[in-house]
Amino acid sequence: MALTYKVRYKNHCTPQEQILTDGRWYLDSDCGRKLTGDSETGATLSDTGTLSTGVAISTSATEIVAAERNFVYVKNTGSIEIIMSLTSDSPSEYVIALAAGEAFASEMQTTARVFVKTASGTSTIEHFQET
Amino acid sequence: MATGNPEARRIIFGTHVVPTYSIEGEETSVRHTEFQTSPAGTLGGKGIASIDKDQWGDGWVSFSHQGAYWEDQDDVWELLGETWSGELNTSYTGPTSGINLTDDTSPCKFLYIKNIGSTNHSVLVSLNGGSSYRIKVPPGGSVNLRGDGVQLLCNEVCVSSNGSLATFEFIIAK
Repeated sequence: MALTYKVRYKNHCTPQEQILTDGRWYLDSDCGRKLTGDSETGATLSDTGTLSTGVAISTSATEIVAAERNFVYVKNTGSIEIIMSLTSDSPSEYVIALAAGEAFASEMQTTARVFVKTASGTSTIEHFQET
Repeated sequence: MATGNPEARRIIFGTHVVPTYSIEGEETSVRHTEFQTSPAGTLGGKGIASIDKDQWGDGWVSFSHQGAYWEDQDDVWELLGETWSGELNTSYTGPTSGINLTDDTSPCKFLYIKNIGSTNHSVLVSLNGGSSYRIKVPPGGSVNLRGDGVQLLCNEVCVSSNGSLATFEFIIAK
């Protein structure tokens, strides 16, 4: 009985523009469409993933991916914006922001390391990763 | 047009994740798929990125609305011929090689990249000017993220490939 582990994931966005102040939002006329990518992880995953919830995040860096991972998902479940680095704890590498309720999901190069912290205050995250 | 009438622009974005495992049936050509025991369901989130109403150029999206007029474009598109089809190609010529999506140095407030190639080559994305490529986008897949507003600049987003050729479309907004 061969077990196969996969993560199916979708990232989608809808660009919008507002023509009148406080008016209705329309589909952005530069883009003209909604955008979606839908894929399964291409890498062969060896086991079930690991979900961690309620992880406390502060202004000190928390490394949530220190070893080789093929897929990473991070969601801000708190109320304070968090910032994320995919390389190191260097301040200039915290380039991704996640406000409350926002999530990031992607296949990763196995060299990636993921650090999370806040600019001020504390928050919580949930994260899922699979090798 | 990248500049003009809009009072404001924003991008609503979301992420949906389904961890699964599948097992062969008695007939091995048949597979049964279920949620992984943890999280035993789906994951996801959504948000809104506020972006500038005036963008850095027409190339902030790699395609155009089907109803847009050629003569209304702000940029000299014959000088930007690489995005004429709404797609960009990138070829692997080394582990840190890649192409910048723009040379604009404004903070990047939103990034979306989709691999629209038909081969098995993944698109690789760097957020630090090509020093390291950590994000991998398989064919059909996409990645989106909101920039921190300070550290990530538009010109620091580079795209490469882990194969000979990959094709992608993108939004890079300041």
